[in-house]
Amino acid sequence: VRRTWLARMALWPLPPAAREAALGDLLEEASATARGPGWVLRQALGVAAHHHAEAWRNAPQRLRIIGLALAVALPWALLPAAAELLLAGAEGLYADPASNAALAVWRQSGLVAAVAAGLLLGALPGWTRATEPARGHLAVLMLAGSLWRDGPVAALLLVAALWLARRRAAPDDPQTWRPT
Amino acid sequence: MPASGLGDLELLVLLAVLRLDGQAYALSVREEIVGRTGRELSRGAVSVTLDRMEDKGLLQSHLGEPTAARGGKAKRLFGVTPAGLAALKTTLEGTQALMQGLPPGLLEGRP
Repeated sequence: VRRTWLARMALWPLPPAAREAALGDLLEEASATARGPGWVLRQALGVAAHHHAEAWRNAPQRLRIIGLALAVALPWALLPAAAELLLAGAEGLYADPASNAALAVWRQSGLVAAVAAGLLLGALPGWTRATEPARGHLAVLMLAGSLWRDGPVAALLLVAALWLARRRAAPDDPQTWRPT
Repeated sequence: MPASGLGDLELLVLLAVLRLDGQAYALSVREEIVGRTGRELSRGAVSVTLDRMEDKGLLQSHLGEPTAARGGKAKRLFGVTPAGLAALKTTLEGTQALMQGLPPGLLEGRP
């Protein structure tokens, strides 16, 4: 069994070392029982589903996730409203290029909010190994929210910012083992 | 980490890890439990239980050598920590305390 990239994608909620070990377990079992890539993928999805559910297993974990979600969602929700207030008061007051550039940025407040949300969601500390899959759940929710409120460009920017922040915060090195 | 009791699946996993003595990884732990108890157990349930127990300090893990049979992936081998042994002792003592005084032959269906 060599076509394992779908199974690896399915196991994405697991930390890198755990993901590789889980994939290795499935490949070893598939090899011993002559099962194909379809079986490996189904089992990988099953393992991932358990890890997704584990994030919401008990009340302290759920509270932690809700706190982290608020820390990300509040700036995302408030930035456009703040920009609207700012623009209402500042339009026409300033004519210098720097002020015009700043106002131009604030006119795209939905895009700014999407980038901020992506960076925050990717880099915010406080997640444990158990709650880590919930970061993906929040990403999906915020992606849908950005798409609905600000359009596809904002959604794309959110994904890009999230990806960049995650790469900086947790390089995907299978040899790096971080229990929490 | 206080020596609190173990859940049902955590107890089985801890005993399987002890039995496997240095060769405990998710696949072998599941096979040990299914083979000895006949209990059906999903791979995901074993995987999250091992992770949870490591987070609680009951188990510790390290990566073994990659092998060709595993597509070049290393095994994640588990061992029991002193806190895990203490939790096992607490759980077994609690179970034995509750068993004491029960009618003899109860488990054979004879009150």
